[in-house]
Amino acid sequence: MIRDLRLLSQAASFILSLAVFFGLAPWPRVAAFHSATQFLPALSGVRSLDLPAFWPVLVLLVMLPWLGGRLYCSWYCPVGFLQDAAARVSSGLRLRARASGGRSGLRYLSFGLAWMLLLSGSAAFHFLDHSSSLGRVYGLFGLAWGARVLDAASAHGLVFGLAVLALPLWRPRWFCATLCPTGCLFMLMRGRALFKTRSGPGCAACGACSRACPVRCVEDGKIDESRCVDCLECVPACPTGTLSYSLKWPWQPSGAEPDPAGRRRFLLAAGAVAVGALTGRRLHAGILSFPSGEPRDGIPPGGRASDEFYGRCVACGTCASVCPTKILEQKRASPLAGMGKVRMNYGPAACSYECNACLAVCPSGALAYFPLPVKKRIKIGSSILKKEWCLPIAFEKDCAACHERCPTGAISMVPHKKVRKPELKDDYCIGCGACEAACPVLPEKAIVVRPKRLHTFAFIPRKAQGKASLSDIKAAPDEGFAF
Amino acid sequence: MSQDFFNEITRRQFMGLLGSCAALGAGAAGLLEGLSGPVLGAGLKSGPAGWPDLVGVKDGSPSQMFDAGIKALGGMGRFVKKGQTVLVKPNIGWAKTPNEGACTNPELVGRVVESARQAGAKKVFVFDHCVDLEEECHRLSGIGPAVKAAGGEMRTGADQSDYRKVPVKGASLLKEVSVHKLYLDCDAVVNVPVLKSHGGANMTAALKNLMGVVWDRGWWHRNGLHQAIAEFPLVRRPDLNVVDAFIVMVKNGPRGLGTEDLLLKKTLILSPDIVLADTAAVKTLGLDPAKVPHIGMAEKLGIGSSRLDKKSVKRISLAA
Repeated sequence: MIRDLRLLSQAASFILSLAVFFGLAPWPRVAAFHSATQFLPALSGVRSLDLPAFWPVLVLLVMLPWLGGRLYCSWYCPVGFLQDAAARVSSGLRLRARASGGRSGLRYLSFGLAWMLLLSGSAAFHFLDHSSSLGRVYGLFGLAWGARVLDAASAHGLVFGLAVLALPLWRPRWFCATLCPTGCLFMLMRGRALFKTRSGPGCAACGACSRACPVRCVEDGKIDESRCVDCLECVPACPTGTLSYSLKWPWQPSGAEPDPAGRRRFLLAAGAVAVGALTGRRLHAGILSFPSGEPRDGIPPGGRASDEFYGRCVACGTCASVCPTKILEQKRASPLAGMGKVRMNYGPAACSYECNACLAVCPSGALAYFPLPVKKRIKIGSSILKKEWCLPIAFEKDCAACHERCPTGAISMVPHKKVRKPELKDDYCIGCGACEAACPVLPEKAIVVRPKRLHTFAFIPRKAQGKASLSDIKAAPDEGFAF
Repeated sequence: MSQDFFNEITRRQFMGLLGSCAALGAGAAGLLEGLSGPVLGAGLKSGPAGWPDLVGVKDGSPSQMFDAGIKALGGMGRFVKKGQTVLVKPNIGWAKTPNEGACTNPELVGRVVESARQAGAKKVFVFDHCVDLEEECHRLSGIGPAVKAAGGEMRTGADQSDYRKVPVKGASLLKEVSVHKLYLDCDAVVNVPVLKSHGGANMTAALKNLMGVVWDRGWWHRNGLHQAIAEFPLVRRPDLNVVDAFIVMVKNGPRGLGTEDLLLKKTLILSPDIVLADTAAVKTLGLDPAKVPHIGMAEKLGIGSSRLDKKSVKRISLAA
């Protein structure tokens, strides 16, 4: 029963994450809810108090380990779901899965590193974060139909994919116990949880709990607290009632014997966290800092300012996946710091005027959500006309390819010798790149976008755009047929 | 789906080929694409007398005007035979709503599709090689839903593998062009442009609308927009042209900026002659025909006639 309910809950969350990634989430609010549940990315704006729209969900997630243990890990996390699924396959295949991880200092190192990066304003925690990495695993599907190439982000997705899909065949939830910075935080908070899986007296050593536990963290009524994710599957399995999911107030005595090695272990853990944090600080100042001087690399609308954007983008690739015109491209010059971060691939494609899909799905707030009428005014760049290449200006040929594509009226056609030439009004230009994509001049386009590092707003083109009614249109004077 | 579409097309074209050969008594038939245009065109001229060369309708709703106009032209059955496949080619190039005047009126497109179905068309396809994102164009223009409701089928124009390179006989500039297979393969083509001003071609109507069935439009811009527009119908002439001048974009076309660019003219122009239709359109737009060079160029190539005075024109006013 509990097993089925948990499977249902995990599968629902897994399907939600897939739907959001592939742009199938029915409403922006569904994606916004999903964003709030992506723990580290959702918290990446905490320095500037820029929290997701569904911030109460995030607050609940922060409180949850104190209230009820690691329910997020066992009942919601889609990466946990993948690992549990692999573990089920493993028991089906009768592979000898055994407990692993949890005891090593690696998790504290990862914890210190990731949280220091997050608090320093670097999104590089995404290398260790489960939800960001899951996006790169989903992105591997793109390899199959040629939407992606095998780059650093795909390689990371591949390694992470193996760690959460293949490794659990032998080591259930190895990632959760060894590397996951979110899991480590929840594990630490869980120590004093009101409700959690507890072990009492009266164990008959029947082994039922070990057989029931998907993580292999309980044996003869003894729970390995460092790895237990409170999946609750051992509780109904226990015939003697030794294992329970029960309330204990913090001031009640725990009844557990003091761990003789506890002090040493605490010092080791604290040391690992400190080393991780210091390393994170160094990396943030060093190889993981994103070089901000890439003038040709535009950032999508909603990115606001390039430094802010790079500090928040977790390289999950969701925006690039939902982009209908595929102007968003996960390709950056700097291979490590820029791994998987998106850029505007001006030239082959343009940002659609009628679309704000990427803004709605960003899990980290690197792209802030703006409703479509606002997004239409965000100026992410300026078009530059190269007169020496332009067909009407340089060659006196009628063209207007840029003019007809421009959605804001920033390009008007004015008389020029025998033809008409384009004229740019930068105040109206939003930098969508429609003109650059349309320009037929080869090999270099005669009109190109120069991206802005700080986004502003463009003038509103004209009144009554989008919602014109027939009564707004002036009737022509009735002169009968013109022919 | 598309597989059996092609099987059927091939069978029908084969039958059409046999029939034409017998009728003409000619053994050698040209390309299938070349065949349907001229043969149908020849049929028009030798058809029962009394049908006007061009019909203009004013002051009705788009569907009322179409119904009146097509009746005066001899009915849709003149252009679409039972069991045929039909391409209806509106202007769906823009992610704009119907009253912004950038795309063909959806009510009109729906009515054209419906009447082709009523004339016995087996399948009615609608597509455009959209300028903006296709899904948004279909949805916002209202043409997607209207076509589905009328029993037509929306197809994509964004897939390069649907385009075929064909030679253009008699062209001096556009000697070869990549054309959408539906334009080449359908038994009948109904061209349903919207009348607008155009920053490059000065006017877009029937001739310019066919730019939406080719793949590489950039080549046309680079090498001579007007000449390419004029020469393209040499590939195949539409069997019927229905120019939507209900809402006319008189300036800032082809996209337009706001309703100030529009005039409500409540006019519809129907003609089997694409050049004649554009000549009436250019006057409706209020431009001197000499300002739209591709009309004169197309006439020189023998694609149609611009002499409205020499042709029979029927004018219908639906004003109550």
